[in-house]
Amino acid sequence: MYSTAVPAESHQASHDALTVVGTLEHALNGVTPAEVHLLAYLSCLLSLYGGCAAADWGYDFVRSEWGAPFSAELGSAIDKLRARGYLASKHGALRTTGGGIAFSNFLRERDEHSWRNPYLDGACSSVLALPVGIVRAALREEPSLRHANLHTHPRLLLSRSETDELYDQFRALSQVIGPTVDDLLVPSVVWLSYLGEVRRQSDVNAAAQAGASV
Amino acid sequence: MTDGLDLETMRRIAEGTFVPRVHDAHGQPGTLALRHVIGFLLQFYGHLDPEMVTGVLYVVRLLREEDSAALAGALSGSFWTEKRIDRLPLRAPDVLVIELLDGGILRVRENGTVDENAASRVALVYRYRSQQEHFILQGQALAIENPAAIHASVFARPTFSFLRDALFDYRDRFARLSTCFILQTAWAEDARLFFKPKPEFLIRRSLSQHLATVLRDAEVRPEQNVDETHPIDIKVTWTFTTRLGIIEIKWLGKSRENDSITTTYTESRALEGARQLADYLDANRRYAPKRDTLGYLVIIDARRHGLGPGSTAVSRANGMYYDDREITYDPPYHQLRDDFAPPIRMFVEPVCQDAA
Repeated sequence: MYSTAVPAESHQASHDALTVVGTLEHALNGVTPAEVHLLAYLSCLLSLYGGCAAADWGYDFVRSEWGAPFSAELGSAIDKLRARGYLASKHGALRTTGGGIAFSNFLRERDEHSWRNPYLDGACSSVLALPVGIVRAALREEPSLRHANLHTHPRLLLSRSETDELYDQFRALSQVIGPTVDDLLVPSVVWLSYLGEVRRQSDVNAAAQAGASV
Repeated sequence: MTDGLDLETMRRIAEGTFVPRVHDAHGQPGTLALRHVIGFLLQFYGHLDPEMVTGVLYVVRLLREEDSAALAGALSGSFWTEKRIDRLPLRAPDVLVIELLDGGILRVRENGTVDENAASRVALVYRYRSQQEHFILQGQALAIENPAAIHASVFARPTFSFLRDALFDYRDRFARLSTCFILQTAWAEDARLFFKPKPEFLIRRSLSQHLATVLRDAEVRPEQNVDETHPIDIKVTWTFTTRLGIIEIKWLGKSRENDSITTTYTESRALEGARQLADYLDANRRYAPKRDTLGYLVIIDARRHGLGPGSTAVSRANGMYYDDREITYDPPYHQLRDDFAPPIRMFVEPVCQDAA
């Protein structure tokens, strides 16, 4: 029914897009393409927390001109899924169709995709616990994105030389919440909340130095 | 701290926020139930305004199938089942209990009772009462901290596509009565007569937090430089578009510290703000010419009539004196330029001595 002649890596992006939209479309009243990119990036970060390498994710992310994470492969996958009728768009937000749900279930059962599901679930569940805007703002403090935001042009994220600080944060996170927590929602929310607090405290300190009421 | 990491802050978050606490109490069954409960609340609060909960709302999700009898014993009252959220009650004047079953089925009790201690041993129990929300975990109530801090519920999250709508929402729901807890800290006293000195950071942070929460696909950045000599208050960009919103905030009124008025800003400051915004927009055209830019002047109007340095109270007549006194802009940039939106004045009410 579904062609498996297409290389597996392009199905990874399709699987991720369908999973994110299918998981959150009811709670968020549709999922925007930008939110798909954001949550796929968060999923990739959680896979690093889980001991995977960034290259294992199967596609790259760059810091876009808007300052948000973006993947060309993921964008292409979303376009193809829409063209094939697996995703429908209404008022800028994506929803799965019946065909999309069936295709997603097909992809989900394949070994090359099933390992990703806990990371996608952890990321998607995070925007149940925290507003998407809060997650987006917190991720601006993620070390790789923060470094990339020092530049104005698009820049590859999670290159090997830029992940040391991220791994330091993840080691500390594992130390704080314990290594045996079996639901990635927990470290994800604690880490995002921590990043948000770091940003907040930085703003407060800067304002206090300038003599503002804080 | 460890090499720049603040472990103490990380621990405090892990011990205080509800997700790890639910996991501590119930393990993975708890966080799986949490997904169901929050997913439901996000949709339900689009149907029922949490401010319509004048009684108590419970949302319950069983943790393990083998405990269904125990949960049934902890809940009482006649019930009906439903699958559509838009058919659920629009008000909760008594005790509304919604049990989330498998297959999207909802078991609804409109005059139910909940044995919180018993129910919370075998189910994840959410409670909304008197504008406070808790998860009941093993008989103990855990307050749900609100990171957005400005909505009636953590899970009531209106969203807007247009910046102007989001600004109007802030004006009507948070600025007028200072219901945002960040904005509350900007006042020198509870009666909201005077700001603290230099309240700009708190006002900007309050509005930024709101916009970041309610605008979809928007990057909200406080205090960005259009160029190195023209700082603006808030810059908003939308992903995958060329749209850019620039917000200049000016507050009017007085600030006070130790019974001395430190600053007085009158209507002329609003006019100055309009000129500054026009200048910022000109600079932005030079530095970001490909952007589809719209500038917004937001006036936080905290003017009161007849306040002196030692004032501790204000009559309704004086406190509301500027409520409907709109500002006339000359030149009217919003009428002369297509990149300058009509200014939005947000009058902030004081607590008046005499009732209306």
